[in-house]
Amino acid sequence: MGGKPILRDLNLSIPKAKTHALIGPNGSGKSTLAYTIMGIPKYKITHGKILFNKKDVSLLPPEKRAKLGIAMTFQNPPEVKGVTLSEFMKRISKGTFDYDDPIISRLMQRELNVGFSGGEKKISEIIQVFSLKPKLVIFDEIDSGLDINKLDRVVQLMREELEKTHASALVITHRPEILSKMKPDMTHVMLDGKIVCTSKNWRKVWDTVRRHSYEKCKECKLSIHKS
Amino acid sequence: MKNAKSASYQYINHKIKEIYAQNGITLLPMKEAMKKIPLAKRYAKKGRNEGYFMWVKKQPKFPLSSCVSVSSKNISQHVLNLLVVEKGIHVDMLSLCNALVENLNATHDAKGTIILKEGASATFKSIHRWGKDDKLTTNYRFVLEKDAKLSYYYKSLSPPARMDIKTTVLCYEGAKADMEIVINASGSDVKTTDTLYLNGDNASGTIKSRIVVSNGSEAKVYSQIVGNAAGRGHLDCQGMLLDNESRVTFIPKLIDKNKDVTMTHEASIGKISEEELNYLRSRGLSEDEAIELIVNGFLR
Repeated sequence: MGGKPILRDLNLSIPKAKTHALIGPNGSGKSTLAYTIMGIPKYKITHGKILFNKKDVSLLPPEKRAKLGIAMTFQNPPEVKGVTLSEFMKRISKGTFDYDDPIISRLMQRELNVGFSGGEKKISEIIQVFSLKPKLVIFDEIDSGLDINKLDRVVQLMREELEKTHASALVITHRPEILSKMKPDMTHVMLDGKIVCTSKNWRKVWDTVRRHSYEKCKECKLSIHKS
Repeated sequence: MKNAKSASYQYINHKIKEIYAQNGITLLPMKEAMKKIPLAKRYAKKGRNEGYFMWVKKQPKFPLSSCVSVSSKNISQHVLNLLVVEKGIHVDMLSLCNALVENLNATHDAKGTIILKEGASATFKSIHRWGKDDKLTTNYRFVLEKDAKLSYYYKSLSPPARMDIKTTVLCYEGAKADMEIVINASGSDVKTTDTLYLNGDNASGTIKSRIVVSNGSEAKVYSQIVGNAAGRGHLDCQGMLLDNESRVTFIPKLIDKNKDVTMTHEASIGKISEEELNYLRSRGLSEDEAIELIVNGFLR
């Protein structure tokens, strides 16, 4: 990005219908990885490939990746004036959407992200990406800035949608609550643009990080395939 | 009743296609009105004998409409319209001016006066749709007597190569006018001059302009509020520039001649944000579709 390499020697594979978590300190490259998988133009791949269902998508623009089934929720989605969430959903949706929820119904009539609260943004992001009938959803800090009640609502919606669609998920976070609620099949730790640990036991990973900070991940033996 | 009209005036090239009005509304071709009706005589202008004279004396049930079109090559229209709305009456007016096909090389030069008498109110929507090689000049004047209310909306989503539109609103005591000008200029030279006069105490109004320029367009937007009496006014100009070949100039002006006037203005010009574009693309819209969505949203 801007000529500065951010991610290096990175290997990550997410099987179908599995949920992986990616944790790491601020600035470690987690969001960069999300944007790179999504294909946001300013993030360029200099070495390596992104394979999606065995297809090399490394050079595809974001809209093509979206059409193939890659979707991501934005941490800070921008305001788009003059179009309501409902109009936008009708435009992008691959099928019908029907939410029997007064909060969502009210949100639908408002301009996309304009004046949305933190929780409203996250809910709007989730219903948008699932309307695309995705095969992989990247949740970029979907839990940031939410109190525990709002987080519960958001996680419940994520779980329901993931169960319905059997989509794979990459949950990027630095909070333990969402891990305990999502129970990821695999947890990865990212430090300085590298995945330094991959473990099936998110609880142990989290305990290590909590007790010894992320630095410990560099030397600990927890990882099933150390890089 | 959908599409019902209390008065309708349809004019193509130099011919009237339809002219009718319900009881309580006088609707005549301007040419005829100038001879018969003293009020029309006062506004008569030499060399202008196209257009309508509409006088609303009774509350209409349905909207009023006028549609002036060009369908043949090299037509030159010189229109003079006069609409008078009597005291306390509310009208909804839809005014459409267009070329029915591209490449007609039409000239549409329209002048008009709209008088809203005491306590009268109007929503006046003016929609223009012209071909690239047509020439468009308009000069409309709205006179709002005591406590009259106007909501004026002008929209041109595909302006001709050259257009010059002028709108002047005079607000007397307690009158209120909200003007909104929406233009999407692509390969066009656009000049708009919008002026709001606060001529009576407690008169108030806003001028809101939304202009998008692209493909070598040049837009000059002159908007001003003149405070002659203790009223309130606000100017709000926002532009969006889509490429480096285009240019947009905002000239907002507040002229205060009374110490009890409150006037404010805001103006901003921006571009399409990369962040918004990427966001929409990640939801499956192509770059062009995303730009269109952002532009339409901005002009809405």
